[in-house]
Amino acid sequence: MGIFAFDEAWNVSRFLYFSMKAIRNRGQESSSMVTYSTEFSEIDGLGDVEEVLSEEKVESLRGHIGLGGVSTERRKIFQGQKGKVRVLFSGVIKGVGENLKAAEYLSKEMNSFRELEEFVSFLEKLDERIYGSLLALGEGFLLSYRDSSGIRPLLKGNLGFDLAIFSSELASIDVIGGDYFMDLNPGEINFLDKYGLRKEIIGEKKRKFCVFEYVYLSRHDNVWNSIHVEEVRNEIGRQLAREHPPEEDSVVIAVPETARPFANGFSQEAGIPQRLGFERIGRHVRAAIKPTQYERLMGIQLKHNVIRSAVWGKKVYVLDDSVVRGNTLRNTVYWLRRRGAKEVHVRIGSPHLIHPCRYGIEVPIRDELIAAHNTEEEISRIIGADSFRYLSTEGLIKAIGLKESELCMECMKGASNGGD
Amino acid sequence: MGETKTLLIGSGAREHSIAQALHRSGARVSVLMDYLNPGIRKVSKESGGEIFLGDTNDPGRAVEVSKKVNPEFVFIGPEEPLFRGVSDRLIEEGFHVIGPPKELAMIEMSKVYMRRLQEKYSIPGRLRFKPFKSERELEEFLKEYEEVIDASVALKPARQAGGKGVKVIADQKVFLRKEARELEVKHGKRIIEEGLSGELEEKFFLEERGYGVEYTLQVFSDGEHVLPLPVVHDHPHYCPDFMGSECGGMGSVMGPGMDYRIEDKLPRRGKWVLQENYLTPFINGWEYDRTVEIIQKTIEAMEKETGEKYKGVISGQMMLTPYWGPTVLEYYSRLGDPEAVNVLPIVENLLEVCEALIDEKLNRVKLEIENKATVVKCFAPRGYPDHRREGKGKELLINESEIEKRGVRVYYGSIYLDSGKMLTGGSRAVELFSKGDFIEECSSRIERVTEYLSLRNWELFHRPEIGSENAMRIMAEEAQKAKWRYQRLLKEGRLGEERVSWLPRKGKVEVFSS
Repeated sequence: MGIFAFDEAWNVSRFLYFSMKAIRNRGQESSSMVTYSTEFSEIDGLGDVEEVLSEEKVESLRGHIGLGGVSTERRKIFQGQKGKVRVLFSGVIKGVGENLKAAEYLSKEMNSFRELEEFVSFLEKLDERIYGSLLALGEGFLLSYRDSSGIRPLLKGNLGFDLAIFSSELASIDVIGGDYFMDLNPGEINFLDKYGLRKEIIGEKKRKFCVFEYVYLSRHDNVWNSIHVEEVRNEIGRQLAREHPPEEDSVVIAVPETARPFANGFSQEAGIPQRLGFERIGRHVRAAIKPTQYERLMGIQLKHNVIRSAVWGKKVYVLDDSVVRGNTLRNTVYWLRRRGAKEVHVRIGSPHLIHPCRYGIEVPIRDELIAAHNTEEEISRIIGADSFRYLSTEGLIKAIGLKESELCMECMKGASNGGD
Repeated sequence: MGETKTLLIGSGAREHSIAQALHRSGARVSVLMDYLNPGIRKVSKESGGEIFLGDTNDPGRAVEVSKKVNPEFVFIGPEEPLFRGVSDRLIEEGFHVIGPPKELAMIEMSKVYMRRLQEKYSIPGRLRFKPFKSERELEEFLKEYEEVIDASVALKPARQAGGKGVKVIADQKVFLRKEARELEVKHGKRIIEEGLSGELEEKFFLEERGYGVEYTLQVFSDGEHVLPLPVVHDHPHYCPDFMGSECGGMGSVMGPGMDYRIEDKLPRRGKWVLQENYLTPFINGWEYDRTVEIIQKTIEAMEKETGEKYKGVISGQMMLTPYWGPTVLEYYSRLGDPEAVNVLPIVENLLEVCEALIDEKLNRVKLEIENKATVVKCFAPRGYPDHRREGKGKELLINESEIEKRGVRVYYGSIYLDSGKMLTGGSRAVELFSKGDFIEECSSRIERVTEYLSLRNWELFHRPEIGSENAMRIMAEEAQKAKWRYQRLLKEGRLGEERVSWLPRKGKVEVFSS
């Protein structure tokens, strides 16, 4: 995310810090921020936003423009330390590589750019091969760009007449008191300097909005392509209930925190009550984006303490957002039974994941994907559930409400739907 | 050639539209301008008028020109001549003037005067305010003013300085209050150092920040009666997509007697609904009448204070807020720019209106106006508004006939003729006007002609999204939030009630903001 203040009297470093708290869901392995006043100043480190940054450290950074970024990889986030442009990139450049490699490449190529025209002619040539969102901070300017496939979110908002804010999460605009108005359109470049905001639209790739954003990656309070994520997730829950109606006298519980709107929709559509099935013990971590199996399991076991009264003697429908490796679900089902659930039925708010992401989203390699090797019945047996069902791809498309041709579903369907 | 001799004072796009509307309704328009505006020059010539150059703020020059022209009335376009007593001198010399004397123009010139007047006469639609003599006083005040949720304020110079120095500072999060406070003090200091409030003892003041949709209601007043024009919605951010600092306005939309409704279901989309009670996209009949009432009460209050009748234009720069509904942000003692350009091109009888105003018979005249939507977009040289000097003296390249062929009209603002070339003065250079049945239609019509105007070797920018569906939806949502709240307060008889907070050990305290 990035912030530009129109009046240089503002110091944006603490704005960046609070804003970054709302993108923690996008990576907790590395966190970093950089500001520019007359020179660049930067804080970076390995770990979560809360671990790497603190109000005290942030105070020392000065400037009216800045960027903040996180990553699911343990790596240096801002590339271009030696040059005059700092680059934040999430995505892929074909023929160059993913996130880190692509960011390295971009910062090298754009190192000496100062004017919008230079960025435009460079990105026009690159747009064919680039899939992702880019923010670049230079000496007195901020550039933002969403590639013409629109694969990643990039929202913009303002804080009154004072700040322009760019982020993949609406909450990071909200948390500092800003207002969100619109997304960058696919192919849109915004350039901000002392003369104000200038816009260009480039490229004409086929639309490829990432469905995984709607299912899992975004916070519930995000809005993307003018579509409200919570609403999509509620509709997914309803769709699941329509596709495989639950038995009467059962209850639905969400595997916190990401599956809550699925459970709401499921309960509303099926007319069965929703109960609070778990209480968290540790602080909120996104277990699935942790790098090792030990950390993932530890995360999940601290996250899910079963509440006995919600499940004892009941047919329980458990809603989760996705199944990657199956480990966390095995743990969940195991503890639900230990605490007295009569039956455990698992419903997943997304279709099966069978391919790793070619656009930089960390879906594990094919060997680690349980769905790539097993049917619903087999998975049900592996995780110890009474039944196990995915959402259909048609159901997902319907819930999002966009045309299938505009969506990227390669991780669920393979590259057959259009490819590139 | 017009029979009725008139004199117009002013040099910008607003005056271009006034000149044109006077000419169209049968006037011969002579003009006094600071620089040779090509648009005004053309209209004036066509009408058979004479052109005078000179300092429009100089009362002596105005009298001199008026004596030469001997007009039925003098129409003063901008505010600064009013502040400098141009109207006073012309009245002394026996001329009829549309434009109030200095004492009444105070309603625009001193915002502190305006707020005190509103308070003294309990005129509805007030925002809380507090004037300060120094930034130290401000610092002290801010210390006592910690325990509110939303401490956002507008910090303004006590004197109107062409919109300069006005700053809205957002402060809704306690953890970022420090930054906002620092900036408020810094900005207060800047106002003093730049001398924006001149000799006034009170240098600047804080005003609570209003939330809601902004609109302008321009009203002709003869001192006894008022003739209100349709409501216009201005766009104060200088950059596209609602970004950037506040400027004089980069465009405005109006009409067409339709209500812009947002569907309840997400994703929210708006649609136009024909509804007689609505006079503009977001302002209904009650809100319109209430705004006129507020302006009338203000005119009456000024007469009580000064003994003078308000003859001229007074415009309420309003906001529909949750606490009051119609709320005054500030007043203009003249037509708005660009707002005038939304309205005057579709008014057929401006001369008749002006004559009735002079005769104090505005109640006898009916405004002849087309029921159309209109959109105005302003085009400014890169550098506007904070680095104007850089955008000065650039050559404007414009193909007016291609533009007009496509149903768009050109109004010249900060553009002067010099040895056959049109050069920029650094401010908003050109305003494009389009009319139609829907606002979006007018907006896209303007977008289709942008290739016909540019500056030689310099960027000319505008806000393409003004009047677009997305921009209308954003404004409609803001309006809706305000309406839900104020309509309930209205029903309960609680409009404008004191806002209080409760503090442990202190009990109830009135708060400056929310």
